[in-house]
Amino acid sequence: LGHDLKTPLTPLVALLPLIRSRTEERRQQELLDLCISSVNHINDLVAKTLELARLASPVDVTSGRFDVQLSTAVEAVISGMKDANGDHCAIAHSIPSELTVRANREELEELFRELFSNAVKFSPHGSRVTVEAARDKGAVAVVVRDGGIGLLPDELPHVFEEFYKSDPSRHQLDSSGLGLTICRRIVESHGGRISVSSPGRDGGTTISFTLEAGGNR
Amino acid sequence: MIGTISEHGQTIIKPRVMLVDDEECIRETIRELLGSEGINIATAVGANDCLQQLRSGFRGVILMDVMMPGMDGWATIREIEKAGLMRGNIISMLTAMDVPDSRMDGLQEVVIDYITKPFEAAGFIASVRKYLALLDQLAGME
Repeated sequence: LGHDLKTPLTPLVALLPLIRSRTEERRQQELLDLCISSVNHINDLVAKTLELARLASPVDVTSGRFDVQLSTAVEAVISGMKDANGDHCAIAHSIPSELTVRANREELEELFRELFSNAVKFSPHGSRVTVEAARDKGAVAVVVRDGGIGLLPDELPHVFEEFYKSDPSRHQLDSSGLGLTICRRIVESHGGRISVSSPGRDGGTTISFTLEAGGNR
Repeated sequence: MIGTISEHGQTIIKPRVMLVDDEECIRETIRELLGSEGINIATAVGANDCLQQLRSGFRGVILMDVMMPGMDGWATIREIEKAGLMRGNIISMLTAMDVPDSRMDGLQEVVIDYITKPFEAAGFIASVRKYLALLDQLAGME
């Protein structure tokens, strides 16, 4: 299925910006921008849907898991997001360097990438996203906080559901409604738990989750 | 270092990139992307076409689709090796898979990279330029 979805997307993703760069006519540029934005949305949906399917497949979920230094993984994600994020929102962590988790490194980075991208998307310019982590018996508890638009009490139980979009993002094309579902699948497949809290609209959002601590075996 | 061939008095730039892909939309996309950068490419629709062009003297960067009907990309590489046509070529796989493929094991010397579909133009072109530079570097070492 991945092949059948991604192959026809390739000319659209690769060639539309090239065609856009070759046209001088303003209305055509506007229409092509619309097409590019739509294709990017479909591309994101396809990638996330396939990722969810992969995470749900009955494979040995513990394969590829090693002790990973949490601060290094978080720093790699922050660094990788700098170009896209610009100066819109600062992401800072205070994770002790000795803290390790037992995890698949790629999935761990994907988890933070989804969380940060979500936090940044719904935070005002110049605000701050923070990440903290601490050892809690055999686990590591991680908290990601943003100062963004927050969530209403009736939205909280649904944010990890597939294709759920809270009201302010319901009509935004750059929101797939799958990012936090992927986060939940990654955390739960690693044996952890994830939860969300918010004091309400414009009060920011806090995502908390646990992962197995490293160095236990 | 651009190879040239002379035909009926005309100088034709000899392609240094061969794309092996059964999908016409991918062949046309890559032909346009690289053509806009002045990189001339040869295309092959499958394993037999690829082997034929190698027998006819193509040497360079081979962009090899993984999933093709009949002989897939990996089987095609085995055939290239079996026919003794690998020398002077480097291969990058084109794949819709997200993760490195275990079938790459043992082929690291010839398969140098992966490009995942769908790809953006700038990253793709940069990758091909990198492969061409590597090819020149390897040719200089021989």
